[in-house]
Amino acid sequence: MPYKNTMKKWTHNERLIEIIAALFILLFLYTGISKIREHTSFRIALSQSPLLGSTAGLLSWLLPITEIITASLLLFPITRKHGLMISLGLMSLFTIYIAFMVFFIPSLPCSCGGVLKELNWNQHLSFNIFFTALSIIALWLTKRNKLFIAINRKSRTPV
Amino acid sequence: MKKYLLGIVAIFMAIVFSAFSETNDKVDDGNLQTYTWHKYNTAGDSELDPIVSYSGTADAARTQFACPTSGAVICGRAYTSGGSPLNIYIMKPAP
Repeated sequence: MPYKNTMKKWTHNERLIEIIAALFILLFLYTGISKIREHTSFRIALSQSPLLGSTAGLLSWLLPITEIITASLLLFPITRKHGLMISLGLMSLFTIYIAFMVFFIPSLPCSCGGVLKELNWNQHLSFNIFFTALSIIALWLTKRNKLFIAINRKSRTPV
Repeated sequence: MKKYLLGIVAIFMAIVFSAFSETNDKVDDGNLQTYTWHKYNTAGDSELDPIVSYSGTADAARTQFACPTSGAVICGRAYTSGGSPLNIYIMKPAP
């Protein structure tokens, strides 16, 4: 019976990780495609940023490509953990950047992809904090969800 | 296949959303294209009311709106001839 409960919990956690990964796939793929479709506007908006202006040309391609690669890592169960780690890194960077903009230069336009540029800086900050929290939850569940531990045959210790 | 189902649904949705969202990027060079520009207030946080507009290139709008140098505050925003706002701005230094 305890084994059955553990399995049920494992399946439940696995489903939750899949849902969070799917949300990130939707977010990164949509914003990545939007940034490429509106590349000129995106590059101009980035070039107006005092923090990123000097690297606008490079970042305007690097960001959407990274987002699309992350979305593809999240699709496959074998690479999902790495996808979630990159998602956490990206969302943390975006959140720090937006927090900087909120506090220091709120009058600048947002260089976001798709409908996200319709959000104001505060809404965008809340949105990013929510997704950063989701990536932390998914990574925590991934770590917690290990049912099997590899044991060294000779020493009988986990490897 | 079941493990990929949610991911595939998310990819499909992202492609559909992208296909149906209107793109503002109708230009190759923001400095040469002609737009209708709406002037912003001194603080650069909202458009002037009543609207002060000018049709021309970004460089011409800079001269017209007296924002010769770029900076951290919005001086004007580009609109299409149909009146839709674009994600293209001319900037000015903070007051």
